[in-house]
Amino acid sequence: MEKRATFSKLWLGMLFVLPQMLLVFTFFYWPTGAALYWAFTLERPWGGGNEWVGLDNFRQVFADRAYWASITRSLIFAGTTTALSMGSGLLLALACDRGLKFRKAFQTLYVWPYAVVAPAAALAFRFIFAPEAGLFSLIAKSHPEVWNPTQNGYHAMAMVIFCYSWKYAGLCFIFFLAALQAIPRSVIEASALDGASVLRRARDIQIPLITPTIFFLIVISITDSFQDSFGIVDVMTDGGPAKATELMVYKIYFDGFRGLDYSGAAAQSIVLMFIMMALTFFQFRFIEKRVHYS
Amino acid sequence: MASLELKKVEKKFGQSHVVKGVDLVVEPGEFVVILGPSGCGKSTLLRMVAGLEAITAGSILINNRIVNELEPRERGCAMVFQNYALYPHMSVAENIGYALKVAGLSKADRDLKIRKVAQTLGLTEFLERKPSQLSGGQRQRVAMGRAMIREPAVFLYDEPLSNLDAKLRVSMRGEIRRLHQRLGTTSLFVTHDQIEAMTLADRIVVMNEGKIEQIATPHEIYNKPASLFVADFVGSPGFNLIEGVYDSSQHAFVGLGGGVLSLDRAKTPTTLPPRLIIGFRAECAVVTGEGSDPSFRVDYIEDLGATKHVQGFFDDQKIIIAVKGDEALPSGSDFRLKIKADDLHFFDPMSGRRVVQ
Amino acid sequence: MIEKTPYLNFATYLVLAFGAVMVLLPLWMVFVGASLTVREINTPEIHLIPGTHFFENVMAAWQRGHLGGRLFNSLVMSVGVATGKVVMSAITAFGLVYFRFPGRMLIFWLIFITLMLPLEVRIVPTYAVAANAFWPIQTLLDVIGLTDAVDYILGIRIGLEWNLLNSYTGLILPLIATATGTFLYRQFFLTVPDELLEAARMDGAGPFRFLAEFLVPLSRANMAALFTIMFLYAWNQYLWPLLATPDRAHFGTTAVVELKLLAPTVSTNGGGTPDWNVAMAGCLIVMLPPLIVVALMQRHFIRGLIATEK
Repeated sequence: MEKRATFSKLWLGMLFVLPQMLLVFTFFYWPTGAALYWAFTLERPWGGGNEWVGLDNFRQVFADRAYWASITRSLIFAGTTTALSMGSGLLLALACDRGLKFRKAFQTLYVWPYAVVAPAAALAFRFIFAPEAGLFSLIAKSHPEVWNPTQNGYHAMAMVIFCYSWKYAGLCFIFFLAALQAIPRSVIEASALDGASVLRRARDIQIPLITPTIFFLIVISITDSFQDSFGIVDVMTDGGPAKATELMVYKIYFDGFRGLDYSGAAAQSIVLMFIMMALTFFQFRFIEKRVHYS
Repeated sequence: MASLELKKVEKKFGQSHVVKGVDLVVEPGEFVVILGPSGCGKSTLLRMVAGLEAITAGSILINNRIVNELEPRERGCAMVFQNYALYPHMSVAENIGYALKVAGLSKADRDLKIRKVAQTLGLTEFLERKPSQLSGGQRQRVAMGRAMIREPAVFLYDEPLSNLDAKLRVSMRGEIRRLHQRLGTTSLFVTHDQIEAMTLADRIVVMNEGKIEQIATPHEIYNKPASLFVADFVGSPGFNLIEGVYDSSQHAFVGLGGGVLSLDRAKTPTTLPPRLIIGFRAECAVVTGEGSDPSFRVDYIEDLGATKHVQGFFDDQKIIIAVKGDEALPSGSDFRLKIKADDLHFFDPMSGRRVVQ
Repeated sequence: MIEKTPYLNFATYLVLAFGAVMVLLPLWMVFVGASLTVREINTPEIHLIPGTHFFENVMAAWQRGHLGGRLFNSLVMSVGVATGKVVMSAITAFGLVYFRFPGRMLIFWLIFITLMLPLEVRIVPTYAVAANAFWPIQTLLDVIGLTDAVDYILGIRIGLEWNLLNSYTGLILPLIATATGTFLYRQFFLTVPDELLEAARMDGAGPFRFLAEFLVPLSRANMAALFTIMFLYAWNQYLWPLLATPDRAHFGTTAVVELKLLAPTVSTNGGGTPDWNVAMAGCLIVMLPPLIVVALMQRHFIRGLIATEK
């Protein structure tokens, strides 16, 4: 889309764009470029020269079982949190969209989790799930094998997944409700006259019509789960116990800043960038085109 | 009062040639309407005068000064836009006074002028409202006020009435006309509505495909269309055009279907091309029951109360004629058609131009 | 629509109520936790009835976490990011939409691409840039040989350095360097009718006037939405402030980063049982400002969320 009417002082236009370009160059392109460069060189922490090593860093990273484990964990995390948050978000949105009494109050309430700061939510759930004091402390005391997220990696992972899904269900709810309310009333009424019951309408009319939102949220949730999980993991588990909750971004942080392995961290960053770009590309290329009803 | 002159004005948007060499002189105080179908380049022409579009070639003069390179605000034109383009976040008063504010007038001076303009347009009680709280006609008036307050050299109207309903359009037409009589500002008005053109204009410029077809008074445009296009475009319910040949031996027109229409020697051009299109207005034909005139078969009738529009066939070609409301013309019946020699127009099918006397 | 579905309505309410409990129960437990003593809270039972030590705990959390200064840092950072974002996006979009300068599409795409890669994936080099924001320029000068040339001619060695760590600038700038708001504004500017600019130009308004007196007031709703979203986004930041504020003694850090220190983990002091009551009080304090913002700006928040994510 283009404007018909524009201003003619072109240098002025460039001037308006300049600050943003400077920022983007300094804090986006340069670091991204540096990550690429480091990924192919052996960088000594804090300067001190570097040498070109080709794909060695990548070979090393991919030869590392711990790295593959972090990828697997990230995928499991992405899959389960997406399913949980979208499922509950959709269910609540459909319930709200029925327009029953007190709907507005519920609506306001469901938005809250997304407004809760992620690390605060993490701290809250760490307490709630804490074996020594929380909701499950009685069970944890008598049967530590049933619930003990500080010792058991699976339990810790479940706790992190729950916390993240709790927060993101709010986001999904907001999007689903907006999409449901964008469906023309007349379509719903027409299907009601056709004899479709409430549940039938949800299945045959509403959900198909919000497919674009569903696909959009799938992609957004997966990409967000890679990036936004850091704070929750760091506050809840520190990546533990025994690295059981070490997701990809957490490992980059850990290797880069704790292990001071810049080249390894850079190579991991590049892999993550590729995953992100592939997902974004996938969204633009296939989803935006294929799912289009209006 | 200012004069406005366009000399060989051209406009190209990339490959498409939108305005193809327009020459026009608007006298000081004159109200000129540019009439044409959508896409004929009339709005582009107006926007070039305003300074909103660059001129590809030619020149535009306001008060004998070339304004090609001047910015819109330096040209002394004010414009009323089709969708009014009111500033949605400003009140009526702010909308009207904005140009003065930009020009650096003090608030007191501005208020004085705004009051005056508002009074002229009957907007005084709405001055504090936002455009979204106004009716269509009031918005239209605000747009006019915004243009008026600058006391421009030239008033430009870009289809300002097309967003109003039919009734309001008629009354706003009257207001524009009255306003012009009072202010006498040189005006250029673009429309695709022929009734607007006929009622408002001192002179009408008919445009088609980027070229001027005819410049003349409304009366002349109606009665002496210079081309097939003008004839067809102006007038309602329509202009009947029938193709055929000129038979010089009997001094008659022979339609493609074989129908013969003898011509009055005194009132036809002396030299007629061999292939010919004759035309007459729907309301200029008289239907009679007998005689040797060409036959007319009634297809169907649209009854408008005061008049009836009769669709039918003449010489196998579809035509329309307008008759009085009380005339009975059953479908399928045959009649004779009588057209006064004065009402017949002759066109050259090759050039599309009128064959002059 | 007249529809009698009593069972379904009951089921719907069950779902709605379950959702409400899922949202409220954790928040309630945080509050209850924040009102108990250490001894009360560290007993293995389900704590659902508030105790009487709420204000004590809040005071303790406030002192232990230096929350006054930390919240101030968070506030400056969030307001800075939100304001910077609003201003930067508006002028960038204005330049992109209302001027047709050469290379405009290239710039458009250069900005667009920043949407694809969040800060988290390029965190290590971004940290290096923040340690010296002139690193890119210095490197460019070195590479094109200007440093050597100046050294040769003037005898001065150019050594640009600008450390952004432990500063508000450093906290704010990297978070502004994305395209989110720019696109929101671009979309909005594109919906502003062309006639408006034309009419304004006929009235004599130039680019600055048009931006200040037309686009800014017209985009007020967008601005509020973007501001709300960006405020929350910045308040929520964890990884970046964690890295960009190493000097905890002097500059401190943001409230959100401080949270973790209230509840020690293996990496902070070797673990052990945290003082949950104080931690929960701190948690409540830190989570409150965004909740207030959302409560006050719910409409803008939702609008902004949908507009910026899409």
